[in-house]
Amino acid sequence: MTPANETSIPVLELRGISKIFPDVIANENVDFTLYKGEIHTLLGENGAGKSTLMNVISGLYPADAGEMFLNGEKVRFTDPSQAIERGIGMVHQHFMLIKNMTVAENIILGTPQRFHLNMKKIHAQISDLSSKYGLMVDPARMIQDLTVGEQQRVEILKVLYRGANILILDEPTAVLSPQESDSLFEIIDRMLESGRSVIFISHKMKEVMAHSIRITILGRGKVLAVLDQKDTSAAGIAKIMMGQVAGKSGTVEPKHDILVAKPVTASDAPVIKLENVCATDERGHQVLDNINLELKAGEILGMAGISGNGQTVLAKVLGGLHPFTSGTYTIEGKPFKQVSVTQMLKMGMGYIPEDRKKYGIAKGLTIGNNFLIRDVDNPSFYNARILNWKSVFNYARGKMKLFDIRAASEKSLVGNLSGGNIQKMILSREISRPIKFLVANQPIRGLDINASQDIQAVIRKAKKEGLSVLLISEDLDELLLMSDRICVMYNGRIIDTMPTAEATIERIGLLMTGIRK
Amino acid sequence: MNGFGVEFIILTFIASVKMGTPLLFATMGGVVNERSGVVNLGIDGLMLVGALTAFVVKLNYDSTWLAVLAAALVSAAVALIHALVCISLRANQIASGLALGLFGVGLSGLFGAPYVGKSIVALPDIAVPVLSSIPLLGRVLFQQDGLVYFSFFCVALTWYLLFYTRTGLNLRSTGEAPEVSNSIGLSVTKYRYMAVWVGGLLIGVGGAYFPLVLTSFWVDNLTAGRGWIAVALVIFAFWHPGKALLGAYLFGAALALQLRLQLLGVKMSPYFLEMLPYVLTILVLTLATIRYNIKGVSQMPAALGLTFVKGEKH
Amino acid sequence: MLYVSFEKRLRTSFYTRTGYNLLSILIAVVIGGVFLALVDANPFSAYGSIVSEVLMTSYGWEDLLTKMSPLLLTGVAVALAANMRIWNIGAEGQLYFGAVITTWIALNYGSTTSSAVIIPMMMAAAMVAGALWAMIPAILKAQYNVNEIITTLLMNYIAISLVDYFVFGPWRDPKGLNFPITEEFAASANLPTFGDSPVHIGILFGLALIVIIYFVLKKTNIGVQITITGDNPDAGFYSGINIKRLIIIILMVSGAIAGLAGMTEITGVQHRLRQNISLGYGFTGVIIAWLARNHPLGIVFYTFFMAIVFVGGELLQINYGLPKAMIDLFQGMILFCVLGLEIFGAYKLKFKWV
Repeated sequence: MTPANETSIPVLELRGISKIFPDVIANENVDFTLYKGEIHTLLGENGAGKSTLMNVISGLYPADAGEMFLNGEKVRFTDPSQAIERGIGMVHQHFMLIKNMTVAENIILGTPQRFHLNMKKIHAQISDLSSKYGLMVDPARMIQDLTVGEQQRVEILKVLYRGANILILDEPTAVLSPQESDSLFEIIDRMLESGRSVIFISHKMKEVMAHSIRITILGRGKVLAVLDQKDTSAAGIAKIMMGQVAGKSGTVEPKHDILVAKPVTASDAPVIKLENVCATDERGHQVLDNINLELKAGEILGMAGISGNGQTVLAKVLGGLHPFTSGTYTIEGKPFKQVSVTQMLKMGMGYIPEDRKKYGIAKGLTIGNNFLIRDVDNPSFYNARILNWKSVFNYARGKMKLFDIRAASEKSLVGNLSGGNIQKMILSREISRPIKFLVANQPIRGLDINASQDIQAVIRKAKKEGLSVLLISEDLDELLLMSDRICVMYNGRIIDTMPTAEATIERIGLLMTGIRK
Repeated sequence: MNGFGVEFIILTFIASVKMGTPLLFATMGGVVNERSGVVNLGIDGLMLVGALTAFVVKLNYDSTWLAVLAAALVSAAVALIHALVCISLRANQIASGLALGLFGVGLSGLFGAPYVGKSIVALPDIAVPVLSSIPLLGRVLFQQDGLVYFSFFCVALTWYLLFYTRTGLNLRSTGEAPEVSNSIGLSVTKYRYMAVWVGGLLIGVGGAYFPLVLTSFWVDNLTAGRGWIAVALVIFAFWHPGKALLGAYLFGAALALQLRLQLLGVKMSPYFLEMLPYVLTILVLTLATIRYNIKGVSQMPAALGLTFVKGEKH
Repeated sequence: MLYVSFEKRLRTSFYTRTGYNLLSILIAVVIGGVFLALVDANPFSAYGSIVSEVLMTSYGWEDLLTKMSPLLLTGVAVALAANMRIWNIGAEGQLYFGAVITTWIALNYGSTTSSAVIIPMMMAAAMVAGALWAMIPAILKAQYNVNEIITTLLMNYIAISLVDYFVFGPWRDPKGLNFPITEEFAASANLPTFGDSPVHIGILFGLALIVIIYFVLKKTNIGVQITITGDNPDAGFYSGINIKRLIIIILMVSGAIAGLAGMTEITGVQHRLRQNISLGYGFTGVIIAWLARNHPLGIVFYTFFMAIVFVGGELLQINYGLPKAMIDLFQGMILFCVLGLEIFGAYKLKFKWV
C-alpha cells in the first residue's frame, strides 16, 4: 500500500458538511480528508449517512452547510456532470449498466463522441485503459455475458474513461467472490500507484483492516472517529461503530390491551428442522451452503447478517417460494425434499417478505381484499362457496383496530397506506391465521419507532402462545431484545448460533463480517 | 409435369424475395421503433396508409420515386399520432398500436374507395450488370425491381445507423434503460419520437411495395394482414436488421410457396395454404420465446412497452 | 420559454375519468365530422341522419339491439381476460370458429332436431369451440410466456381462412349461385326473436354473461384469485395461487364467450355461414373493455355506444356511399382520443414561463 503523504494538500477535503432532509439530518458537521494515493475507508451502519455524503461529493446534490475543496480549490456541485468533469468518479453498488449492449458501448455512452463511431479505435482505447490498470475485460462482449466481477470492472472503466482521479467505491466486494475481491484490490493498488485516490465503503472488517490507510467511522450522520489503520484493530472499530447503537430502544411495552396468554415452555421436539439444505440462485450460483437449523415451539430464533448473505433465500426456502437443491426440510416431524407455497400455507406457515411491496400486497385493491392474500380459501369468508364481502371487511376492520392499522377505512386502497401500516397489515394477516411458525424477514426495516414497537409486541405475544419465529433483522438491538437464540449468516452459511444471553453486539458484529473469535 | 425442377426453385426464390420485401421494410421499421422502447402494433394499418398513398401518387403523377417518398412521409405522419399518444400522453402502447391499426385500415379504406378497381403499371425488374449473371443467386437477388435493391440499402443503412453511430447508440439506450439515458442527459422523448417517425417511413415504403410491384391495383385491405406477420417478425429477428432480412425472406418463401403449390395443382385447399404463414409465425414465435427462456438472456430492448416518466419509478 | 409538464392530481375520481372518456368521444365525433367532410359527406346531415333514423325510429333501435348482441359478448370476453392483464385480441377468430362449429350442427341436425334441443346444443358447442380456439395461445402463454397478443391475433387469420375453406368448399350451397355461402339454416336452428321484431335473444346471452362473469369475479374463490393475481402476480405467487392454471382458464373462458358470439350472429342474424360474418366485433370488444374499465355497467353502456357507431356507419354506407372502412376509422379515432385524454384523469397540465 502506498502510504499517504500527509503533509501535502489533500486531494479532497470536506469541512463541516451538513445535509438535512425533511425527516432526518443525514450528515451533521462532517469533516473528511483524502490524500493523494490514499485508500480511505468509510465505515458506518445503515443509515449512518455514508450514501448521503458520497452523493454530495459526487454531485448528486449540494450540501446545506459546510465547504468542499478539491486540491485546495473550493467547489460546490449541483449536478453529477460537474463532479465528473472535476475528476470524481462514483462506482455504485448497484451497477448502472445496460445488459444488452457491449462493454465499449456502455463505457462511451454519454461521453463526447463523433457521429460515426469507430468501434475499432474505441475498443483499442478501452483495451489500453484496461491493461494499464489490470482491469482485463473484452470491450466487445455483452454485459449480460459477463460475470459480476467483470461487470464491476466495466463500471470502474467508465469512471476512468471519463478521467476520474478520485474514485468512490461503494461496497465493491459485496457482490464478489474472494478471488474476485483479491483482483479488485490489485486493481486498486495500480490506480493508487498512478496517483489516484480511493474512497472505499465496506462492511467487511477483514478487508478494511487489510487494505485501508485511514478509516473514518460515521454514525447517525456524525463523524465518530478518524483512525489510522496501523493504530487500530477490528475489535476496536467494532466497538466504536456499535457502541453508539446500543441504547436505541429499551424494553417495549405492548401498546394496546392484548391479553397476555400464559407462557408456554418450549417443547423439545423442533417444529422446523433444516438439515444440510443447499440452494442456488437463478444463475446456478450456490446461495445456501449446508444450512442446519432447528426451531422449537414458542422460540424466537434471531438471524443476523449483512444483507445478501443468503438470509432472504433461506426465508424463501422456508416459505416454499424458492426451491432447495439438497437436504431435508422437516416440519413437525414430516420430512420434505421439496415444498410449495400451498403446502406451507396448509402446514401453518406464516411468512413476512423482505420486499413487502413486491410480494405482500396488491396495491390497487382494498385493505379488505388484501386480507385475502394467502387466505383465499378461508371458509369463514364464504357462505356456501360465495364470498361474503361483509365478513371480509368486518374481519379487516377488526384487525385494523386490533393492530392499529391507520387508514381511512377497510375499503381504502392499500397503495395509499404508509410503509408502517402496510407492514402491520401483512403481519396481522399472517398472525391471525392459525400458524405454527413465522418467518419474519426485516419486519421493522424502514418503520418509525411506534410501528416498530407495535410489530415487536405482536410477535412477542404470539411467541408466548407457542409460535415459533425466525426473525431476520439488520437491527441488532431488535434481535437482542426479541430472540431466545441468535444465529449469524455469512456467505450462505450459518457461521455461529448462540443463546442470547451469550450474545453481545460486538460479537455479532464481528461474525457478520465473517470473523469468528 | 416436371414441377419441382431447378426452374421451380429459382422462380420460388424470386417470388420469395418479392413477397418478403414489404415484410422486410415493415420489420425494419418495427425494429427501429422497438429499439427505442416503443411497441408498434399498428404496422398493418401504417402499411395500408403507405400503400394507398403510393398508389394514388403513382396513378396521378406516374412517378415511382415520388410515390415511394409520399408513402413514407404520410405513413410516418400517421405514426406520429401513435408517438404523441404513447410518449407525450403516456398511454398504453399496446392499446395505442391497436388504435393505430384500426385507424390505418379505416383511413386507407375511406380514402381509397374511389380508387378501387383502378390500376397502375407495375415496376419493372432491373438487372444489375455483372451480379445478375451469377448462376442461381443472380436471378434471385439481382434481377429484381428497384425497391428490392432499395431494401438492401435500407438494411445496410439501418444496421450502420443503429450500431455504428452515436445517435444509434443513444437511441438503443433509451430502449434498454431510459433511466440511465435520462440520467446522462439524453432526451428519451426526442429519441423515441425520432424512432417512431423513422419506423413509420420504413413501414410506409413496405406498404408501397404492394401496389407498386405485387398487385398493380388497389382494393380494400390490400395488405391482407401481412403487417401482423411483421409484428411477430420483429421478435423473430431479435430486433436486428440483419436477422430481419432472413426472417422476411423466410416468410416470403412461405407466402410464395403457397401460391406456387397451388399453380402446381398440389392437392391442398388454397385456404389451408393461406393459413400456413400464420401457423408458421406462431411456431417461430414460440421457439424464439423458449430460446429466450432457456438462455435467460434477452436481445429484447429491456424497456420495451414501458412508459417512461422522468423521476417516477414504474 | 414555455414549459409544459404534468403534475399528479391528488385524487382521481371515477367521475373525472368518465368525464374525460366522454369528452374524448365527443372530440372523436368532431374529428370524424372533418373526415366526413373530406369525402364530400356533410357531417351535420350525416350525424343528423344517424340521430333521426337510428335513435328515433323503432327499426333503428331494433338494429341497435341486434348489434349489441355480439358486442356485449366480445366486450365481456376481452374484459374478463383483462382482469389478469391478458390481452385477448383473438375474440374475432374465436367468434369465427364458434360459428363454424355451430354451422356444422345446424347443417347436419337442423332439420331433424327441435329448437329446444338444438339451440342449447349449438350454444354449448360454440363455447367449447371458442375455448379450444383460445387454448393454444393460452397454453403457450402459461407454459412459455409466449406473447398472447400476437398468438391470439394470428389465430384470427387462421379462423377466417378456415371459414373461407368451408364456404368455398364442402359447405357451399349448391343453390347459392356460386356465392361462398352455406345453405340457409333450418327454422329450428335459428335463434328465437322477441315477438315480431328481428331482434334475437342473443342480447340476453350477453347480459346474462356479464352478470355471471362479474359475479364470479367478485364473489367466488377463483374470482379472488384472478383479482389478486391480476393486480400483482407476485402476490398471487406468494398466496400459493397456481398462476399457470388461471391463465389457461381465463383465456379459454374468454374464448368460449367470444365463440358464443359467433353462434348468435349466424343463428340470429345471418342464418347461414359465409365470409365476413363479423365486422370486426372482436376488435371492438377490445375498445369496449378498455373504455369500461372492468365495470359491468360500463360494458353495457359502451357497447350501446359502439352499436350506434356500427349501425350509424351502416346507414351512412347506404345513404352516402361510404365504405365500410369508415366504421374502422371511427373506432380507431375513438380509441386514440380516449387513450390520449386518459392522462388528464390522473394528471393536471402545468404551464410555466421561464
